[in-house]
Amino acid sequence: MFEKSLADLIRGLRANKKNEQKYIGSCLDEIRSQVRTNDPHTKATAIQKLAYLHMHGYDMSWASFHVIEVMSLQKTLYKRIGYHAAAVSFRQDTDVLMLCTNLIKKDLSSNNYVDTAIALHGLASIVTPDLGRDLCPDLIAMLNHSRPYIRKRVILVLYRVFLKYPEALRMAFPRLKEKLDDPDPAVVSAAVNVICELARRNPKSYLPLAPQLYGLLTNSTNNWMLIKIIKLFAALAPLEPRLIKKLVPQISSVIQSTSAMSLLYECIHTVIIGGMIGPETENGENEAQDSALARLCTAKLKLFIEEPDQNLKYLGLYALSKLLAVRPKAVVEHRDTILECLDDADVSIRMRALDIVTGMVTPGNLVQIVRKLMTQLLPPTADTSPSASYPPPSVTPILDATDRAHVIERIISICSQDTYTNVTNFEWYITLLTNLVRVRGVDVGTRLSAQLIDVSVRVPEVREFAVQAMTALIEDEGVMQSANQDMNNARVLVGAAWIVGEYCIYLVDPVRIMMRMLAPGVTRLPPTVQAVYLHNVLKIYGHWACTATDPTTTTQSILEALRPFKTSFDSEVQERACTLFEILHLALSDPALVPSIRALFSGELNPVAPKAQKRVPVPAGLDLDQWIHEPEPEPVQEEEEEEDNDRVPDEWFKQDVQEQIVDSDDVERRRQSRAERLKHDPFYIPSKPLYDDIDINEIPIVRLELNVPPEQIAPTRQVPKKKKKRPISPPPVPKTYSINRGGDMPENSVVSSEDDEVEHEVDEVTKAVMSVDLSLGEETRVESGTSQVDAKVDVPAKKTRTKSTKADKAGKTGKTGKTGKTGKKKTKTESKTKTDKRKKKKPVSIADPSLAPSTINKSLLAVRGLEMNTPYERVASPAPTEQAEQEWVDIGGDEQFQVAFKYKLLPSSTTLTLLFTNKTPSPLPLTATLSHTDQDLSMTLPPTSTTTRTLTITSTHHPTWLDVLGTKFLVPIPLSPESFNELVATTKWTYSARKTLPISGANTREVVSGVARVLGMELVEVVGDAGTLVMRGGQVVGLVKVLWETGGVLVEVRGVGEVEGVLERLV
Amino acid sequence: MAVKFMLLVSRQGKIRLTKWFTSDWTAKEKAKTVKDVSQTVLGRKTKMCNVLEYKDFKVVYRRYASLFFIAGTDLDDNELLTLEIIHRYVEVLDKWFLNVCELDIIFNFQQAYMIIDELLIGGELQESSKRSVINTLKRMEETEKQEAASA
Repeated sequence: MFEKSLADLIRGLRANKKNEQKYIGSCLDEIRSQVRTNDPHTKATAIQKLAYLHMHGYDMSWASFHVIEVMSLQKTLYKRIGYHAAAVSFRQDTDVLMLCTNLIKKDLSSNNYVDTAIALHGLASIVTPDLGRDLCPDLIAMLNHSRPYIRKRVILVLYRVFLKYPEALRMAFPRLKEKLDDPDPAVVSAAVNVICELARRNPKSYLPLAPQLYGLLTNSTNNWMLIKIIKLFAALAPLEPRLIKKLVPQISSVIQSTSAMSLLYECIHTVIIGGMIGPETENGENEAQDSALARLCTAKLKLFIEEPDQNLKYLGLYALSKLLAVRPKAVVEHRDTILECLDDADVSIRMRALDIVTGMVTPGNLVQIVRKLMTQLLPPTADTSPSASYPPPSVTPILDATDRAHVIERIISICSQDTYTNVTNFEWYITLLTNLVRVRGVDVGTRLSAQLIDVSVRVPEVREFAVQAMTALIEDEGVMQSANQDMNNARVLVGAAWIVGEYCIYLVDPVRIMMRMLAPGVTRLPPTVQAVYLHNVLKIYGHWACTATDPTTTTQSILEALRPFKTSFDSEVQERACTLFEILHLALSDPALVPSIRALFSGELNPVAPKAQKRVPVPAGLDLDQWIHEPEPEPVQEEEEEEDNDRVPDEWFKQDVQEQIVDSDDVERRRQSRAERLKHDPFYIPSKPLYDDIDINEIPIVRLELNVPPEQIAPTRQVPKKKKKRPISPPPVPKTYSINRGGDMPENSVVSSEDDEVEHEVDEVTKAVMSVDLSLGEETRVESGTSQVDAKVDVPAKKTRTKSTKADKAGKTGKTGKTGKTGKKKTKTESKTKTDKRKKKKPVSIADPSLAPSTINKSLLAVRGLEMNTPYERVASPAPTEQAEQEWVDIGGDEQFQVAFKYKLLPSSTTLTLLFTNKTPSPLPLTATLSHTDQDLSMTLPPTSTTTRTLTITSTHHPTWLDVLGTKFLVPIPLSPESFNELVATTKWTYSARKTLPISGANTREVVSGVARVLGMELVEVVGDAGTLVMRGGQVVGLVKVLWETGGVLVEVRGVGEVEGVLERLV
Repeated sequence: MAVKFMLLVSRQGKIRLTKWFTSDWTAKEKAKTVKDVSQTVLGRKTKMCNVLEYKDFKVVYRRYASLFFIAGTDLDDNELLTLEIIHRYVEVLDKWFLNVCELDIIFNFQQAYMIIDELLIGGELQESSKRSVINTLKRMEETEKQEAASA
């Protein structure tokens, strides 16, 4: 043996660092040949090496089949390698996964518990919905495994199965619940883990477990588990107020006593998010308790924050931010500690602190907090007046650009929250915003601009100050120059110009600001800014020219300054410049026009509510679906061409002829109508004046009242509104502001509830888990949608086995009566019972609890969780045909008992009657499992020789085997030829081939069994001419037909989907 | 799910071990996550906290000598508990390899995986006792040695 071991490979990798690719390439080649050998050791080593390379990013999906080969090797050593490789490389859509089912099944039931554990680990990683469905009965049975080592693993693996195949949860839950009382603490812990995860997604179903969990909480000292239980209660508590009352003392005592930080943190977290502290009330009944608990939590969290350990600091801040929503007062007490964290070296901690700070701002502390934040953006030494040089000379950014933008965003949001509730001094706020302009490397101009406009619109008292500040901003050279930088705040000038223009009455020197806004440098600003500048120059001009003694000179210089803008590349700027130019030109020649310019912009603008547009009521009589213009009828010939374009219609020729012979009157008429149409077409230059036929005196003239005082015109500019303004109070100390907090809404606005609807998004896993409704009561009901199985045990009165068909019929009628009474069944339950002719006693159903023998397992009442929508269903459900009464068919037995069965195929289900016969006189408890059901069928045979019992089951599946006391018996229920043929015809075979196989057999059945065995699949009875069906987990995957030939066996194989590759390999 | 994945990354950014507790991610997603997470973690200063949020999960890490142990967990999981799990893993490694070093993990990666498997299954902690984990490991090694000898 000269092949490389894993260690050799790793050593080689380290030795060949320079040409690693080449080395790995040669290794992969070697591995490719090694995986094909028959030596298990070589194969396993190759897979192990491959798994190692996979970790470094090399594909190993090509080797999936070989991985399975290694998994199926006998030795534990190799199994581990195989399962590990599967766990790392298999994905949900790996095709060979479907081959694993039986292999895993076998390993799970291995005598060597290490193998079982390995299989469980593999399964936890690779489980798919199919694997989950096929293996969950085995896993559920293993919950009662004798070794805790296996039990705890099974519990955790089942959680992974639930996520993929939620139906399993319904089946496993009762046993899972029992595991909370397991004698082994690790098993209990595992069960708590799983229930905790499940309950976080769907707490309601797990509320009944609260007492049991509470017991664990009080008695356990295992911190690992306590954390999970407490986390679990955080999910349950909000649903049940009484639970909170019971939990609070317990959790508080843990908080006070524990030394484990993780547990302490979990307790505090649960107290906060579990709703154990109610919101602050005046004299609520729990106020004393709640505030004490809140104080306890904050005191402990303060310890977290003051810890040198950054993790505790981070978590402490995180928990505090959660607490803030409920108990702001308790948190604000620790303001200074939190504010210190704003300076922490760790950006994650700073951001967490910022989260809290945002929530604890009050009018009293806003200034202090903002100042603190500002020091991170701009060093306090820098001159903060807006006229200071830009950028400030000594600015060394503490934060990087993204963080700075984040902090600015936070500053704005804490100031503006609830329409400036916390701002007491708006002059300060305007100054703050102008200072923020000077932060470098961020692009927040638009945000700042919107804030500035909003504040000055809402707060009339601050407008004068705002105008001064904005004048300074517009005149600031630094801001102008910053426009050349990559990230800049130049767009703030939009807001600045708007404020200056809108509230120009407060301007000290209108001419200077106008000239400033038209200065040559302005053309380098963004076009949006230029456009707003030009528009606002007009506003200022209108205001100023009314009062100016001699506006001519200034107007002329403005006209001169406008020239560069008139040739701007931006169409918006160009248009505005030209308009402005023309208006001013007019005003220059006719000074009487000046007041009307001012009138254009008079009237106050109010904020408009964000939803105003939506709420504008539709005017009565407005029908938007109605034609405004009746559309002209389509030209006739076009329609005809469309209708019938493969044959030229006769009419077409006729029309052609008609057009040629139209009279001259018609031509004249058409020409006129064309001229009429073109008259209004701006792209058409008429050859003669268009309006010579119009009497100029007939044009209606609307007289524009330009001298009307602004108050009267105002409403036309205003959005209809509901005034929410407060009366302006005389300014006391400190200054009060009347803030327009509302937004204007249209009159008669309709309030629609859909505006406020928030959709909750639920992730897929949660949906899946929530879809399973667990009935936790004692009574277990079958309620699984489409699938249903009823099981009944009939206890014949006399213990003699008779084969009388008459008796059967008697039993059947009796049974049907019973079924009618129970009523609820969806599936028609038929039962064939043997009763003693002489006694003619009705069969006793255990559905009646009073009659149920205590030895019969109650769970028989509910054999649940079968799926109906498998393709297999078609196999089992041929057209309903009345079948002749069947003879008992022996399916086998041992020295102690014998089993026989009868069946009846019904639409979408199979009714199976099993007959158990005692051979030796012993009181034998029998347990049996039917394929595709998860429940044990158990019964006791009385200790008389040749006693019989029958058991009737209706299954929506096509049962293929019966497991009695660990021995499997084939249940040879054949398909009807019709349904078989239908199945073959309706299945979409994706693969079809003829192969010579190295499989020998005496007859067709043996050969086909050989094929199925190799594929690890079940076989269905040979029926029809098409061949034999091969099934896997209840699904048809292949069809095999044997065509005999000398020398070998020629087989015609057909397959569905992923089986193709497997069939290919078979040959 | 508690732990979604576990990464062992050297200070130079070399991957020493990756353990995924889910098969839902594609190889591409996994590779991207490994790259992003390890780069972010390696870029953090020692004074910074060991928790960070990445996409829709939380990354909890801790450095032991030259190796970073990184775990990805759900957003609502307990960070301190995850740190404990990481620590427990390191303790067991240390006990098993007797003074574990990076080379031990490089050359015995199968065993390193085995130890993770003994501690966690499906991302949930299954055994918190160091001693019982070590005992199981010893038993397993013995069985496998016997098998190897018989071969």
